[in-house]
Amino acid sequence: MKGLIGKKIGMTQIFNEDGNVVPVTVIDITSCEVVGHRTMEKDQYTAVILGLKDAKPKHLTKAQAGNFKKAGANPKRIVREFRVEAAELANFKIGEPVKVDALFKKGELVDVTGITKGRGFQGVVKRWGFRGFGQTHGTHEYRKHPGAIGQRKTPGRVYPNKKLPGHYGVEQVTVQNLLVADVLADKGIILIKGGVAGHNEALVVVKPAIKSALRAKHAAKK
Amino acid sequence: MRSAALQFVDSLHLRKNVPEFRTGDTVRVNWKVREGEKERVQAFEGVVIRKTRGSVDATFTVRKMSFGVGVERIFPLHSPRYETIDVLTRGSVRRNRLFYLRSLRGKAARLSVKEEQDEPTAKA
Repeated sequence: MKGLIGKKIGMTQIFNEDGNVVPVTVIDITSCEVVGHRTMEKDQYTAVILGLKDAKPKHLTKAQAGNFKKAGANPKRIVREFRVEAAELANFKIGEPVKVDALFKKGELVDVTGITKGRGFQGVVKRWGFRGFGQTHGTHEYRKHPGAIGQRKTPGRVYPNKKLPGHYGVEQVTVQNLLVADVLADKGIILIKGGVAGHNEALVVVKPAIKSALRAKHAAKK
Repeated sequence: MRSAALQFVDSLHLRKNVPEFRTGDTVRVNWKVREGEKERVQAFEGVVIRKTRGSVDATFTVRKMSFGVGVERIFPLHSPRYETIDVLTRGSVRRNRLFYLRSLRGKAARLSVKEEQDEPTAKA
């Protein structure tokens, strides 16, 4: 399996082997368990279904509760699938917690996906990084405006995808090639160097770095 | 309140033998310097002008005069990179952050030394 789901706990810093400070994001995967399989016979593809955060019965629909019961897994609030080869499927028994140390090792690169914090309706300076206008030199009530947004009668319309004010945040963002700073398997914690999208307690998906894997493949071909 | 997981991660990186010192104290930080393969100790001696609080992220700033130029260095309090911190004198100061020392030179930049007080006995 190539990945797991976890809960972002927050950030802190650690000292590495050289004694240098490394900023890390702490990701908790204690409640990450296998809750089901997708099989060739039934679904035409193979995958492992992981669940995160224990769910009370009142939080589940009857259909969801039935799925968990049928599979024989603990009910979970968050469910994600990860594709695996059919042969590997047997390694992940339903109801068992995910073994971190088998998946990620210290020093590996990973891609981490999260949902960014919601920032509400924002102007172009915060949302798109526009510079705005001078604060002095006679600028009159025109400091953080977008400026001109198009031409005149030709084309007579604003181009699609024009960067304008609007809702900002709450979008899926993947940060690539983050270093696994440490894996504390017995505590169910992964430390990842650098920041990760989302608020504390938010869901994050950790996968092996796609680009470094591709690069290794190319190098092997040569 | 920091979560239990964060506190646990922090606890792995806290130094146990951090000496007690305050701002105004004169200290010698025996910093380990790596030169290629070899490692040697380089001392940095001066007045502590700032201590920030926190768990692993706590730092302290040491200021000294080097050839007439003020030099300040910020050390992480829990860094494994220093061998020891020797407390040379206890300074008598009335504030927590001694940034006013930056604008003072020579005799004015000295701090009066606090007399070492005996450890209070259990009865007292």
